[in-house]
Amino acid sequence: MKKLFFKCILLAAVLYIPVVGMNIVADSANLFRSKMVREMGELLSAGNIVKSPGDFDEGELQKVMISSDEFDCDTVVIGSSSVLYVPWEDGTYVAGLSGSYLKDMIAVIGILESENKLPKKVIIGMDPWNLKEDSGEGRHTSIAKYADYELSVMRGEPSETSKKYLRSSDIGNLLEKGGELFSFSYFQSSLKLIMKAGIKGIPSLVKKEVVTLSEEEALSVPALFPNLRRSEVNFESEYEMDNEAFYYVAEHSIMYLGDRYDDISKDNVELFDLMLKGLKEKGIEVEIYISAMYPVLYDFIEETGDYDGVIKTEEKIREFATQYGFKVCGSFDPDALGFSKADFSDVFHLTPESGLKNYYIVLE
Amino acid sequence: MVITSVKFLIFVAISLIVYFKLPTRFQWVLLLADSLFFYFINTKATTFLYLIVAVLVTYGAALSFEKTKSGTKKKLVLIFAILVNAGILAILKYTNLLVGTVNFFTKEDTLKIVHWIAPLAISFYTLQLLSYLCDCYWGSLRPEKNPLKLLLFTMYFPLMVSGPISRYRDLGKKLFEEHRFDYDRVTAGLRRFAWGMAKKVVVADRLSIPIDHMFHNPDVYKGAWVWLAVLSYSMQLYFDFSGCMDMIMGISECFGITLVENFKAPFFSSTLKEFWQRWHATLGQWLNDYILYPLMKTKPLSKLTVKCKERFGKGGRKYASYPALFVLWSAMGLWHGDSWKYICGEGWWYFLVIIIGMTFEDVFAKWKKALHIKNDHPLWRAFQMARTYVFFSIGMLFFRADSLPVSFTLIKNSFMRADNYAAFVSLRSDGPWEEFGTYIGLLTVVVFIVLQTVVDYRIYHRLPVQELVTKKPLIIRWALYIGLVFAIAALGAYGQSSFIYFGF
Repeated sequence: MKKLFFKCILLAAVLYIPVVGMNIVADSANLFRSKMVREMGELLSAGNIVKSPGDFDEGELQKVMISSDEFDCDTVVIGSSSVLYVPWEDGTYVAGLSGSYLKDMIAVIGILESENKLPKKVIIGMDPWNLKEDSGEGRHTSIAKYADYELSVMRGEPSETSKKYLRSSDIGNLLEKGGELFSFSYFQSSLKLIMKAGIKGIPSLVKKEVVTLSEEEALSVPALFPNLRRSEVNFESEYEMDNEAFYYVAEHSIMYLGDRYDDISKDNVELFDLMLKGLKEKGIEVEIYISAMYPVLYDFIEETGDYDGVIKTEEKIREFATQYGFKVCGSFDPDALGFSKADFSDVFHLTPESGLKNYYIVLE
Repeated sequence: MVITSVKFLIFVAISLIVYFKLPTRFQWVLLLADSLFFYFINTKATTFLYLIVAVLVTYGAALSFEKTKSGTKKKLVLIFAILVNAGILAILKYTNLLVGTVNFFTKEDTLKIVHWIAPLAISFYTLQLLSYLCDCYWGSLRPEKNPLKLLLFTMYFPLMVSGPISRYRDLGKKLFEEHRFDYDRVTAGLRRFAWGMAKKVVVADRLSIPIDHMFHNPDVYKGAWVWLAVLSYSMQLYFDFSGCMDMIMGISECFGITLVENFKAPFFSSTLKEFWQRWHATLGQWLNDYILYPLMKTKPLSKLTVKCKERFGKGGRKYASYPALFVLWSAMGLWHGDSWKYICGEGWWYFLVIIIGMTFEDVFAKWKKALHIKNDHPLWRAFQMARTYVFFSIGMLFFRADSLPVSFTLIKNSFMRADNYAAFVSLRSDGPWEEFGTYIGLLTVVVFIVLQTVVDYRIYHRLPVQELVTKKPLIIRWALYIGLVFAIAALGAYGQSSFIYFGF
């Protein structure tokens, strides 16, 4: 057995040394570049526009931005990418995190709380999957401990208990990132990056990883603005969007919503309630922003019955809004808002203009 | 826990170490613990109740056969146990077939679609339990006294993925005998596992990208494109299912338990009948043993056999088997899923082709003689293989299509004129060609298909397969191992679907 064990270790080493090496060096999603994220944060805080490096640790950037001395905002928008591209009013800070779950939003509030920088108003971008059963945990592990901290604060636990969470280690985050080191799909992304851009395309080998842009330049390349709003440059055609939407319909599986979502989770409703109550108790004004869904997908959701969770999510949001006296902007139903396919930049996002229009529509 | 994941590999590695360190009489207990762990991590715990009920009823019924002398009582117990086992399967898996059919005829939603979660691999283990039950009833098998051993036979974790459908007289013995560490056997198992994994992630999952795209866009892909999608889908399914089997067999081999082969070079078959003895062979064998043969022995069919023999001579006996074959192929279709598309495509289509072949056997033989075609001529063999492949693929079109009406639309589309320009544009601009890996992806797939053909050639001719590697010098052998693991790492298509037969 020892001989076999030795051979397996040898084979694993032969395989994993290049895989791990490539994943560290090429690091296609910038998972291991915290220095780059810090630099981006510093430049953005100083009022610069920076070129988006594609994927990066968004939670880490939020930490850097909020903790900087320059951070001073009355309104903070939390949510997923559905809030990232909207040209919000001046003075609004965009703390959206891609594919955000409830705990990610709570984590952002936790960072603000821990830095004593709670705003006067919070706009919560609610997505259809936020109350789904398996959406309870956060996805952005680098800020997970802030969610635990904030939940502890919202539950009214003693300050020392809450602060204990902030002092806890980031083991979950480290494990998550460490796992990616051994991932074959991450290895392939790294290989693709090198094949596409060559050795010079690897950010760690480039002298200047973070590039600042002028306002004009930011119109043509993906960029991050000082308030962390993203510029949207990829507009898909109606044909492309329809194709993608019909694919989900045919597969009976919608990204983030899975193949079935017929009811909302009681636990997540409680979590959402706790978050709303917590914000109200802090005296923060709350608005809820619901971004319209692509018409083909929403029609499918209405017809099939297998995704009633989406309808119930909106009903629950409105119920809470009435209970706590919050304003609800927009709706998942594009027809109710008068939106057509032309209002979308891709199957999951409204165009920036329509995103803002969505904010100003309050249904009776 | 997908069996292509690192988690599964770690789980197996730890199990193997403990397995060979344990006193041999406790090895099966570890396998049971592993199987329970695998079950609970892969599905809802509450579904275990169905499995337990099925096992306990089967266990009790089998024991009662030994104790009961009355034939009628034994028969009643058998019927009860079959009804419980088949009933659980039917209710959990086929209620929606009934709902859909009623709603179709009433043209409204008279009944509501149900969303019940069935136990993992219910279609596989139910057949295993039914075979155990029948064998005990017929007296060809002594019932197991220990219910936990029957439980392990039912849910042995490699079988929980996609079979093969095993018999107690074969697997029961292997599971409970002592297994000492055998270096050659474990390495052979690991080699087979790695090869299966490459077949799954490098070929099947890669092929699924353009195939899914073509099936989801029937308005764009017409004419020859439909045929390309359908014929490629058969290849994808083969690499998916047989890759899965290689992985399962390989893992089980490491534990010293050789499972029955499910794939025996099916694409080398001359006829569809032979094909189904080589593709998912354990299912075909089960249907023969527990449906076809018992049906042929029933009084009405025995009488029909005599009548057919009298009316058409010796060769007329085959006509009497048609009703039983119809039932067999209907069951084959139904086993595949709760939709009429499976019954039509996986059942009746193959039934039709096979009985046409049987009915006109003599006519075809005369034509062959008139055309001076020799059975062993390579061109004739190639034609037979291609014909079988096409017939099989047409059935698989129903399997892959979203519904029965869509299947017919696809068949209609296959005879329409193709808009090659639109098809090429869609393949390139919508992403599947790039995601497939463009020409590198194509080359990879072709190379693996060629390699699998070499493997299948050896299987078909009953030549040892692993000697292709093990007889090579050390350096070449290790170069092949490293090449294979790198192919899995660098060329595998990750993030695609799980095994097509997983969850059956």
